[in-house]
Amino acid sequence: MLEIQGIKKSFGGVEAIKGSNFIIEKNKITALIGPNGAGKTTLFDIIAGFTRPDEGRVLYEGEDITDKEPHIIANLGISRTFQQVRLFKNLTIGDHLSMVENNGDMNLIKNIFRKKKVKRVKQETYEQVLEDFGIKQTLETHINDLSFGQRKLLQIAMALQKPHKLLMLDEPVAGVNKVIQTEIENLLLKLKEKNETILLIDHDIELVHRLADHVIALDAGIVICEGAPNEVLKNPKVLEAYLGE
Amino acid sequence: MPKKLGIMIAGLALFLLIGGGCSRTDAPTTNTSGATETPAVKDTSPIKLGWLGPLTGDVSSVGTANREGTELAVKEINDAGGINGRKVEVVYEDGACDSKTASNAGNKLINVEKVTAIVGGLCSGETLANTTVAEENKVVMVAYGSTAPSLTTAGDYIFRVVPSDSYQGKYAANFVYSTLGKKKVAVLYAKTDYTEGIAQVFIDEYKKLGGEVVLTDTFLQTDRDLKTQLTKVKNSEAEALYFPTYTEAAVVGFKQMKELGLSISIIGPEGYADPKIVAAEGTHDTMYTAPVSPENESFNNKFMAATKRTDVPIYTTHAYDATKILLETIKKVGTDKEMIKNELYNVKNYQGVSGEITFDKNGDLATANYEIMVIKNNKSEKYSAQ
Amino acid sequence: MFLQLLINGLIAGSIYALISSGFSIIYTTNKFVHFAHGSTATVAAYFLYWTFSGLGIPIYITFPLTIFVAALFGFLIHLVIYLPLKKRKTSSVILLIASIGIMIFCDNLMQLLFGANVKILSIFPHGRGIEFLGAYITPIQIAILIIVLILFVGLWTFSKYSRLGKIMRAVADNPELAKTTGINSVRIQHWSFVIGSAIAGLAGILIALEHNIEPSMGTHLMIQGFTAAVIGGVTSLPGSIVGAYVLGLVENFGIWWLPSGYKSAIAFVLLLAFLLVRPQGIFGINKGARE
Repeated sequence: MLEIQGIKKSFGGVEAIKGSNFIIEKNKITALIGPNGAGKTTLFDIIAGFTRPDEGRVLYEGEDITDKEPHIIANLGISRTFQQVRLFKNLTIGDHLSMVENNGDMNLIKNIFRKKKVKRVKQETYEQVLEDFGIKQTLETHINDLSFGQRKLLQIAMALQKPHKLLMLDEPVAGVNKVIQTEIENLLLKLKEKNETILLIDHDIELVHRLADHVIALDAGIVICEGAPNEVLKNPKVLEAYLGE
Repeated sequence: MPKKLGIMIAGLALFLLIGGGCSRTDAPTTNTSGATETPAVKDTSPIKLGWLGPLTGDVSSVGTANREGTELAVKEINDAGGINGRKVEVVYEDGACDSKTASNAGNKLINVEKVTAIVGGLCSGETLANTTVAEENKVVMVAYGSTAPSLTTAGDYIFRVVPSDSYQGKYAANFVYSTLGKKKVAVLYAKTDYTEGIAQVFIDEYKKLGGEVVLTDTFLQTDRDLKTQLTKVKNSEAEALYFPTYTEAAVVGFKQMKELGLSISIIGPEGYADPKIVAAEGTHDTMYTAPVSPENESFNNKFMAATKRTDVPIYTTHAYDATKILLETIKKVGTDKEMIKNELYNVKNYQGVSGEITFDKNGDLATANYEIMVIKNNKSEKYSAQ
Repeated sequence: MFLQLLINGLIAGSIYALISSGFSIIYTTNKFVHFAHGSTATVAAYFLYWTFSGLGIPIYITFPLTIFVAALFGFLIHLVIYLPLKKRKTSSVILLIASIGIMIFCDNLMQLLFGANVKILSIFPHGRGIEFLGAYITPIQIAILIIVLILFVGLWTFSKYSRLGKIMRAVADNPELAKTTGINSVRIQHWSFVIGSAIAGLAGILIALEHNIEPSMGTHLMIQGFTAAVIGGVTSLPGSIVGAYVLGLVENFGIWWLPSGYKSAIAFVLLLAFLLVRPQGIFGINKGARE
């Protein structure tokens, strides 16, 4: 589904990615692991269109999306979350959920007037989403009133609510307490059952073990090892790279 | 990189904001006093005069004509051989009837162009903005339209060929009270030297006569919406409105008076003679005081012929006279600034095209005569009580 | 007198509203102060003057053309000046300074091209106003009131019922994040300038008819328009119009008792009061930190 071909990226003389090549397969959960600075988030940025690589290509379902604008890529079906939770400061939960709908169609007139019935249906859908996620708040709650854990959940909820074919999650459980971590894990497992294609960045080895179908270990963007979790996580090269942490 | 660009833009913007209004204060280097032109060899360098008046902005329709009055005077002198063999050159600067602009202009004339004397300004604000720098540098100013009473005590080097409004204001008050018979009046004036000066004189005199000033209110020279002030006037018991203002606000005022249905008599000072006001909407039956100018057909004809104009706007004759008086004084005593100043105080019964000119000990005109004009169908004519 | 002052206040408010509403649309979407917005109205007014009085083109062509030119003007400023600066991630303060620079440049350009004298646009004859219970109001003033009312209803509907309003605020808050949800942030920003500037163009036309044309007219109005937007809440579109009326009415009733020279002072006191006590304005949505 997603192919990274020969991606190289430098920032001010420092080579963050020295030459990345790998494939993300459909209907699987792939985990990207590697020490800090291995270029994982940079790869996410490149895939999602926020940064241009110095060299190389990104192919999505066979199409070259390397130079496409971020919003176009988003509308092609790539959803992503951020390491530091990013939400819209002054909007409500309901606003966020409705924000991700149907943005491929920017028809002004359609967007200005929405039928009442459509609004009601959407309302019910969103309330269901909140329930599914265990976010005990109303749709009218402002973002500033949510806890950190709730915000992380909402980020993922948004990514899911958005029509997508590929889900990219950047450290989805970093910084949350055990309860929420378990919730998110269960959620991801459910998604796995639904055959969703997920690309995951995380440092939690246990979590990776439990969730991932395929693991890719990176160091400076170069794949040092990939395969089933068992193999990769015991690989000496991988352990060496991690011990440097 | 972004920081540098940001600082550059910030700096440029600041420069634009500040740079516009700085007036230079170079210390005068020469020409402060003493003989600067006592040549062993005959001096044929041109005599430099400065001219200050509104070439843009308020009253510019008058200022541009006044400039031509000066140009005519200078041309006549130069055509006759100049002054003692020297040609007369004039540097014309725009005062825009605004103190700040005029201050920059005056500074430029005095400190950069180093003129011998200045014909100007027209608006009282223009002249008053430069009295200090003129006094300090001993540069004579002969104003040709500044009527504010405060100019009387502005300095030894400041003269004017127009009477002080301390006369005009009284004349207007008497007209409104005695001739028109209005015992209750509202006074609405712009906050400038000229308009505030004459308004105050009017109010004092009108009260002395026994009249009641039911309302006084103000506005800025740059205001373009007088509806609220006029609403207050309409709501007061005023039987007439004394309305000293410059042109642009006047045009707005008359239009809005019409819109609001304000129908009491409107009286103003001589600034109403500006063609732009006379031609404006809503001015029918408006009266104004004006200094009596002798009908000088030969001057009018030669002026209109030289400029292709069809009329001679107010203060043009005064600008012409101011220029001529200055140049004739220079012919008599040379270009020593202090001597020019002293000689001007000797001007007595000079027969100018604007009338007879005698300077009193303040550099003011010793006498003043006014008449009432009225605007009918966008034309000025002499008022006659029927 | 009360009724006349009320009418005067409503007319003044309507004029401020024409400026503040367009400004609010732009601010809501871009989160920086586009001071040159006033210049858009000035340029529109002079364009109208040039095409109508100078070239003699009839109003049914020049009116829509002027609005189009105004929209284009605002769009170009964004494209040519603000966007490149934004790409370098400059702060809102720098953008504000840039906008002031543009404002000064435009005012002076208009003065250079057309002169500093007030230009009178005599399209419709001015006459005694229509009397109404002892107060007077002219047809042009009535037209202004009606147009602003329509504008208000439009913006209120737009704000409440339209997704686009939320999208604009999202784009203003975090354009990058908006992109991840598939929103073309830059295009939304472009639209905000086009629509906001078109309204300024309309403002330029109406103000030229009511108050005549001067190079500094836009700048004066911008100060009051900005005050109006702050009072009503800079992030609220209908609020900007309410704020404008509040300003217009307070100014005109204020000088019932105070000397008229205090009119501008009243505006500034009001602005200061709101900035200190309630910076989000009457309708501003501002949960948490100050903007």
